[in-house]
Amino acid sequence: MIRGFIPARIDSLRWIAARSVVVGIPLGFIAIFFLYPVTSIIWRGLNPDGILSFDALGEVFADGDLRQVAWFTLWQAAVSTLVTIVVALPGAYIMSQYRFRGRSVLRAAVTVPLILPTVVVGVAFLALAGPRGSLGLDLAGSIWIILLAHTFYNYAVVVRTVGGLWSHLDPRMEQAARVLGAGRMRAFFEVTLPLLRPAIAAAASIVFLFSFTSFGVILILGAPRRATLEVEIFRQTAQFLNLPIAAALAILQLFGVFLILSVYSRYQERRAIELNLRPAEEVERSAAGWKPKMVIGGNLVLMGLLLFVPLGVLIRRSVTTSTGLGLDFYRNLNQSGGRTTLAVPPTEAMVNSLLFALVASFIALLVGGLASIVVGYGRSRWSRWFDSLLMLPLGTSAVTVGFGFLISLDKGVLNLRTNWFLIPLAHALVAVPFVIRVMAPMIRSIDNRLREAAAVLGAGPVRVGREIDLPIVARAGLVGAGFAAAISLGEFGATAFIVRPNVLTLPVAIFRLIGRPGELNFGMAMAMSVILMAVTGIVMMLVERLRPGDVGTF
Amino acid sequence: MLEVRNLTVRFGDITAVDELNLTVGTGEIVCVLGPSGCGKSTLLRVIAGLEEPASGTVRWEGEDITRLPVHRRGFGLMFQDYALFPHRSVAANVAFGLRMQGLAKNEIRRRVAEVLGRVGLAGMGNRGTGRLSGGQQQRVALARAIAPSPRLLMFDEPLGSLDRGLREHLVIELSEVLSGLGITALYVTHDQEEALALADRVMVMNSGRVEQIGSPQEIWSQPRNEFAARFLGFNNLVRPQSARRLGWPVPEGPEDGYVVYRPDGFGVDPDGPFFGIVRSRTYRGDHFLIMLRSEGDTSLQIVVRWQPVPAVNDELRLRVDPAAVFRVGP
Repeated sequence: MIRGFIPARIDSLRWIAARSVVVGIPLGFIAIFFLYPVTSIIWRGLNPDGILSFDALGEVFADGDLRQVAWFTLWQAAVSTLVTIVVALPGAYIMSQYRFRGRSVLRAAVTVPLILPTVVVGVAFLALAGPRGSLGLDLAGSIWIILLAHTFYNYAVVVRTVGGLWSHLDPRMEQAARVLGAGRMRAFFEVTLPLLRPAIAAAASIVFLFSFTSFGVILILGAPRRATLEVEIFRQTAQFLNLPIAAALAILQLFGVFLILSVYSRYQERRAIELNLRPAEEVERSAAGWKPKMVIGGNLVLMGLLLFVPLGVLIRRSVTTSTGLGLDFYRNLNQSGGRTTLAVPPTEAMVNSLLFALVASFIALLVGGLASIVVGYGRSRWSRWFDSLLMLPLGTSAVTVGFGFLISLDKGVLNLRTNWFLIPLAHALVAVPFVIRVMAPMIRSIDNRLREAAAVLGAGPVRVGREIDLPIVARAGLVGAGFAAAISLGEFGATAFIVRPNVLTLPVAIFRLIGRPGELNFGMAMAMSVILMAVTGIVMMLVERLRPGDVGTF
Repeated sequence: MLEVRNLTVRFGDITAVDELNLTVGTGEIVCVLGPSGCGKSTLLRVIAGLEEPASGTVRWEGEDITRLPVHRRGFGLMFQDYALFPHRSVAANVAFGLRMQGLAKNEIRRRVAEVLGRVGLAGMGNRGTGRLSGGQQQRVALARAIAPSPRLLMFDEPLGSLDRGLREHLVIELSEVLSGLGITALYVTHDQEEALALADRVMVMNSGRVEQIGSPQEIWSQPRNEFAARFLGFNNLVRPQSARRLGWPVPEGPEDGYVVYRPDGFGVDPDGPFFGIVRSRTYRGDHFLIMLRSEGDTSLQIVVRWQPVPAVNDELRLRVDPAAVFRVGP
């Protein structure tokens, strides 16, 4: 299973022990902190009084409001996906087909929203088009602001996924269609678009999944009228303490996610066509002439409006007080009680967030790193199966994770409900799939010829491992830990369930602040959002620095 | 009739095609022969409408089509590596151009079957393109290009990526199909054997310019200048002054050019004018090729079909068949 740096004839007992630890820790982690909570939810939903019953599920379907929630979840996800793809396809086009100055900077810049905590996205759009919004147009609670925020958030998914394929698509495909008599549009719809379909389907399912399980954005921007299943699970739990209904909704939600993922994977299998991919340098062309320049310019304006105006407004509003420019909102962040009505000062939430991020990235690195070694070095069907098992939390929503923790980790040795440690544990669980997605490809990308070259030059198996594998694995680990820290900093869905009033994190503190009246509270929420954005941005920049080339992106 | 006049194409600072003139008569097959990077593919792409020239005109039957969009030209182009649509079946690939012409469904079906039969792929219409062999893909690409009955059919190194045996086989097939269609065609290649086998006329191209235009026989027997001669594989190019000094035969011609001795025109002769030492000997199947070093460090490649085959370091005295000697310009 593991090739390369583990010597073939190592003492077999030690070998078996090492293997058990490498496989056992991730397996145990997933079993205790994911499979057990999720089965608890299903158990709770189907078996509230010790007997199997579908009463709770029936209640959901009988309740007009809840049916409405399920329907809204579905259609807003569909429309969000459609809008995002239509808006982002031209962006993918210009970035994959044309060389122009500033393209690599732009490529990095459009990715910024993707790594932003959802709470920050919510606050940014409130600052732009909320009740106190700069546009002077209150869209809060409307579908428009939700669509806008989802498009903002997922733009980079489409640009990266579709653009990634487009930049390698043989340009002679379109040219062949043109020579055979197809106009520009006809060639695009008959040849280019079908060839891009696998990438569009991949991007669409990711965007659909993100929108289907959207929590922070809807909780902040959709209130009080709009709710997705995620938001409703939270409300039923936190406000109405109706756990059976919440569990039934969570089952519905899990079923929906499962459906999306299986439709997607079946589609991928069926649609696999062999494309003659070309190096990007052969595909892209210079943007000479006024036509390409117009297309590029138009897109840049659109990107600016969609992606950078909300963040710009957020930053500007955070330093604008009733008396002009000033850092008042930032200065008040160490206050509690009184006008701010928070139990603890935001600065304390900041310290908590950093601490949790540290602990969470350590756990995620331990679990995800060991799993990446299995997945990265393993070649068997078993290691692929292991890979998909560890990906499960990615498909499941953070809210399900938090809700599961809440109802399952309350007995015996697992009674962690009042322990602060539960928060970084939840963060680590959400982060593990990302850590594996980053680390495993880097490990897999180690060229076996390097090991062979080292061996031929006289390095023994242990020496080969130390000289060739270790530096790359260590670097992959740093990248993975950085990712985990960024995810932990912004995590909101799971934290919202398990956080206790006196141990807040940054996103939770921001959410509490915007729920309260007064300009100061909203101003402080914006100030904290800016800080959260900056910290996340710095962590991600460090990660990008450490990551070699294109390996381990998603 | 296709007329290209004073055509210049630039990519940034690079001039890919330089003031080029070319005429292709109706029903004629012209091969553009040149090394990679000589601008021959660019020339083709401008005629197809895929590239815009900096200056010059392209005319078809007298009509200026330089700025006509690619899809309105009614030309066919077969790409290198074929560029078959991987998401469509063989039949759908062939039908593509016919659909663009707006033909009726049953008319398209009839024509696709006819064309597939012509290229030897009858009954393969429902196959995907992914599993086809190189030779089959080449035939699908040909069928796709000829199905809409293009006014001019162009080929961009269509056999470039195939192995040698298959290539020789397909050149013969291609020449049969082309003469059967009586079509006007422009064929770009870097392989002289392909060009000589297929063309009514060959144009030798270098650095964006025409070096020579002529029938295959003219090109082969009388390359016009040093480039054409070297590109066709003649390596025994000697300055006339040096040849005279060595006492070698020198026909009439311009003094700033070269004398060319065909490698297969030599024979052993104790009184011959060529004298030298064998520096190397390589086996080439039906003959040996030896490198003969003469005085003044002049080297000659010589095809040996006689016995006994000279060994390395042997001294040789040879004569040359006068028909195997000609002059080229600079």
